[in-house]
Amino acid sequence: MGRLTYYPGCSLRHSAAEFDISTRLVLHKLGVDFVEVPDWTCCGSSPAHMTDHLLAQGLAARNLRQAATVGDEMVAPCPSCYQRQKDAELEIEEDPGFRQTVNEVLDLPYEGSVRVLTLPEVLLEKSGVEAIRRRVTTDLVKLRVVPYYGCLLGRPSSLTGEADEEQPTSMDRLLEAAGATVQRWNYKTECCGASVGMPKAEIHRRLSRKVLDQALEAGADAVAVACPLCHQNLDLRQVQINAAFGSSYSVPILYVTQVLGLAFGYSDEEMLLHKHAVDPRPLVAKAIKEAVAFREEEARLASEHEARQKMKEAAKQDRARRRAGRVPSTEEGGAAPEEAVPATSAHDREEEAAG
Amino acid sequence: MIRYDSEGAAQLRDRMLSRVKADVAACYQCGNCSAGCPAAFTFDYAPNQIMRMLQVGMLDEVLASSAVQLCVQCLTCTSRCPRNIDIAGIFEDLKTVAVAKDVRVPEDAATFNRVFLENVAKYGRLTEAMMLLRYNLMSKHPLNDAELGIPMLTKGKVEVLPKKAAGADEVGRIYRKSLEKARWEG
Repeated sequence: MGRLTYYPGCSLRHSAAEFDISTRLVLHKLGVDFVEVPDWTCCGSSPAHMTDHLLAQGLAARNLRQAATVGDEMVAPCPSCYQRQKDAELEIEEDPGFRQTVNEVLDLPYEGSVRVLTLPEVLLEKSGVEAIRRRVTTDLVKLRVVPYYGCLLGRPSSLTGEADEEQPTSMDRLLEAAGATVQRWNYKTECCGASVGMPKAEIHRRLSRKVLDQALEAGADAVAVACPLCHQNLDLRQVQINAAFGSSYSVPILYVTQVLGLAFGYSDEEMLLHKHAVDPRPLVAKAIKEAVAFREEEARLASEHEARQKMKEAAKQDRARRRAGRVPSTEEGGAAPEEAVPATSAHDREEEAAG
Repeated sequence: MIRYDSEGAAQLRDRMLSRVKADVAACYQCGNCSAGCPAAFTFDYAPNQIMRMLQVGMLDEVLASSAVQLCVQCLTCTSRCPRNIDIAGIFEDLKTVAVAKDVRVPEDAATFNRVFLENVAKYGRLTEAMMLLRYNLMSKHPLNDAELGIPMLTKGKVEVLPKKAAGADEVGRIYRKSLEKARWEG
């Protein structure tokens, strides 16, 4: 008991394997201990809850029961899996009668009380912004990203724990802690059209195009997501958006855990960047290179600034000594390092004479 | 001719009150749900119209509407409703009522859901490629998303030989028992 369990879900096994691997590596690096839910099965999202309520809660409750055998908390990185299992958790906790109804469709009853958490919640609660910052080894300051929460990480706030449904902040905080440059935008929680993505393509095409368009408008080079369906719609289906609108988007879509992993020094291969349809590797390499150049330039400017400060300080001391009525001495003034100091001194002498 | 089924409307309202904890009678037609709905451009009725139709008892029209089928469950309407009505919850429940009553519905969303769940009931975990192929056959769009096949294969994003998960049999039983119970009485 007392352990955090990990529910990967169906998407993370194959189509979003990079989300699974990067999440596991990041949790490991942050020292967050977890164990996979034994013999987990599909949570049914999203067809189950649009077909039958008891079916949806039954599929989710089976996973809660499996998790309860090894722990009392469950993280589901996929927000869709999270919502289903959280919804079942709350309804079963609140209504003992409903627990009984659900148990009637399960082989073995679920008697535990497992708390379901989002991935950002786990990262912020069990590790935190400071711990993430301490582990950053690769500078991503030149990686300009927008955090895309999609529908289910922020809504409804009663489920997700975000303070504001329209302006959630958990991903912003994670990405900033990783050192990336987070651009402000208004499309954090707009829908990408996932749940009817296959049956009604035109919804997906229009909504996902808006997301890409707004990301570029906000000055971002990439979109950071935390949902396998958002990723599929924005990355794999970007080619379909271009075909539908005659556009030429080529926007890399990164999982938030891939950004964290890169900041922690994991390689492109370890973060499985090659699995994306829009290859993010050139952008990542460029951002890392630019960051090095940027920091060198920053260091150069800082040392110049420091030298100027020293000169000013020396000149100030020089003036102070002379005001104190001591004979100006070139031997003492020798502490001043540059020729600018005598020039300033000469200027001061003129001013003093004029005064 | 439009049939106003006030008795049915009252019955459905009670169901929504207990199941979704949302009261359709609370809607005062501000239209916020429709203004924020990202998918409404494909609907036959806007979300606020569906709410009104539920109030007056146009149940057959509601259950057979494309609006109910094409709702993307993004929850924007729910989060912006000034009357705190869980509108997305109502739409979700309307879909389940249409399934339970075996209503003929437009669009392919219900077909997608059925193919998806039958796959899960068989394998325990979704085997994405199998599900997509079967959906294309069932919805009679065999080449739907065909252009994604190559990148999905070369990027190692599909499971070529699906296996049954350990809990698959129980999942199959959950599926059958739930749908048996769900069948609409009366």
